[in-house]
Amino acid sequence: MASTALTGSSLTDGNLSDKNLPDKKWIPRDANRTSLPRFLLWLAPWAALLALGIYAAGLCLYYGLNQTNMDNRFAFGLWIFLDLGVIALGAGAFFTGFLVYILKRAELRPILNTAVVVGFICYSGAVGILGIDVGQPLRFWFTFWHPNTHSMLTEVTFCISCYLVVLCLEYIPILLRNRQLRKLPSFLVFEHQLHKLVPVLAGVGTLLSFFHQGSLGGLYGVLRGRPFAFRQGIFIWPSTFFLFILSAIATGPSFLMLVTAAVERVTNKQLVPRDLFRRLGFISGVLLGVYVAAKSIDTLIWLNITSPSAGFAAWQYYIYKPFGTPILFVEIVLFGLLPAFLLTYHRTAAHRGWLLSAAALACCGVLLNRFVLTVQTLALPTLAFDEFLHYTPSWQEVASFGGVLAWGVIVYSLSYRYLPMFAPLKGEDTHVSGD
Amino acid sequence: MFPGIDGFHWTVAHILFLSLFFAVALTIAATVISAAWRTARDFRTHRATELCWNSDFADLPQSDRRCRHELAGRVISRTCDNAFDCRHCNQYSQFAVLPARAMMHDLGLHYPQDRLYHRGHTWVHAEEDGTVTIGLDELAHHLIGNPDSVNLPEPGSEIELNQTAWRMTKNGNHIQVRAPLEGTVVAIGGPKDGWYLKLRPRLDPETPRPCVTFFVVRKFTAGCPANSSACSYNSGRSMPRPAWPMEEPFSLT
Repeated sequence: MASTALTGSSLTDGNLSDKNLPDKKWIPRDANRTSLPRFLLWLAPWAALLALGIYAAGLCLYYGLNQTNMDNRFAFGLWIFLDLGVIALGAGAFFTGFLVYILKRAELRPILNTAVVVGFICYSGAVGILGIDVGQPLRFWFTFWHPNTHSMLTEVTFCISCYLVVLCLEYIPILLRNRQLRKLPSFLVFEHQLHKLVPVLAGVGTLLSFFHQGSLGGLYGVLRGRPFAFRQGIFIWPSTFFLFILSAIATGPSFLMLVTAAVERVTNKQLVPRDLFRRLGFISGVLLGVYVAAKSIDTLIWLNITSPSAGFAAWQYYIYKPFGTPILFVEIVLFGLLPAFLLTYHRTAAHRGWLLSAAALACCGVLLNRFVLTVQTLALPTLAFDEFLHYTPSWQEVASFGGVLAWGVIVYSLSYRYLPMFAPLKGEDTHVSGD
Repeated sequence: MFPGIDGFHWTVAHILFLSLFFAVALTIAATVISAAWRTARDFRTHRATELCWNSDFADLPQSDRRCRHELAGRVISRTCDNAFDCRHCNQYSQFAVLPARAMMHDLGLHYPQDRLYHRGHTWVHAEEDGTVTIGLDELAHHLIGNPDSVNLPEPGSEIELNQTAWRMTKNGNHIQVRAPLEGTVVAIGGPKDGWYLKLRPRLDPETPRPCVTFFVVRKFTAGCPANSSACSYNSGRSMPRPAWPMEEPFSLT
């Protein structure tokens, strides 16, 4: 028995009984989506990976960290690398919010929803994996109730927790714009009112992100017992504090570009205005250039002053394979200077292929930087009787890592299908085929 | 975290760090509480309906946002960007003086000019006692004929603008009729009476109010600006296009 309202829109909307789209009433109006079976087929392997990740995480939480290949010496492994990596890549959320709401760069608005969803995925994944790494989930409140205010990790914990709440609040208005949820007047009005207050949340998110991005870097910079990571700095903050912030805000927009381009590729649709990538690329390139300059100066100071004063000659860090000097070259030049140039030079920036390649290089750069600081720092010997340590993650660690990846793909896929992530483009050929 | 708890020290670092943390936490909490309070206020002041309409209007396809002057045949093609609120239209006065050319009588439908028409296929007729009578327009009447059953609200109940005014069934199909304005039901009729509801509008006719969803019923708001649709629209000739977003097809079979 059909239920109708006596209004005429329905007279022209006769596509609802499409057998392949039983969920059509949940899909944004006028949006063209693939059939439900095909969508479920796409989700199936990711769901399997997520299930495996949850199982592995359950093992770690139940049996303890003996399920991993970390030990008291090699306490940071794949999970911390993942945390640092996704938090850096997720910086596009706060930085885009800052540019749109605080600096009023309205031209970036079309990518704002994607930025929020990507940020939510990255931070929820990071908090989830941190929860497994720290363990004892029933005592999570200890870190808030008995904080060690002299620890950078306390600041990181507080800021990441608060920022995840902020991201949830920024995600809620997008969620409530779902075609069915907005039918409930209370949801719709709450979404409207919350959306009006999002600039406040964007400001808070900027403050929190600034500090936790910095503190994650500062965490390594204060390790006096690890001369490879130890840095001098300004007041209480080592130079890595500022380098982490710079690298995160430089690569955040690049990662957003890559995600959007990947979705455009999969769906075979243009989702954002053509010049938006170029704008994001330019912002990313300029900041990456500043980061490379700062990183180079920092490296020179470290090589010539900081490390020798700790009793280590710089060459000592690079005699252990695979961490030779090429890794330094790759990080600064190939994944830093080169993408900065490609993103800002007008001829390469005008070419989509170059632009996306440069964005990918920039993202690889920040991941390599986090990998080096996490893994190489711990692997290198610091005492005369120390040996170069080797670490290979266990399958539980890898499965948890994969679970976070699957979580991201599933959340983004569901968001794209059921939420109005991208506003319809005006005057552009927006539709090529179904997705 | 707090004084008296193991680990807390009265040091600058503790005070500064925890003050910052609580300031951030309070800001986040205040934002959520503020949004919830504003939501409740909007429902109290009946502004929620307007917000819902504006949101739904933004979701309408362009074909359903045709300007009333296009429907009346005054312009060839024009899309409304003001949620059908002609008070905010810069070009309203420019078009309103043009003669309407769309004659619904030509299509075999009768639209009396003594009443106003809503896009939800209802008409509103102002009575001398300050109440209004609401009925189905000619098109809806032709489509539905005599409904199998009618579920009308009880006298004394409140109905909201563009929310369900009453329900009907025809050949096993449920039909809900949107309210063309808000107010208190004072009497109920039926298909045989030629009208369905008699309503006392919630707002005093002298009170200006935002012209939200109304395509037509602005005549009752005497406080509306002179160039608003409320004060000038009375032709009843244009075919009222429905504006409410629909999720399911309208079918009587």
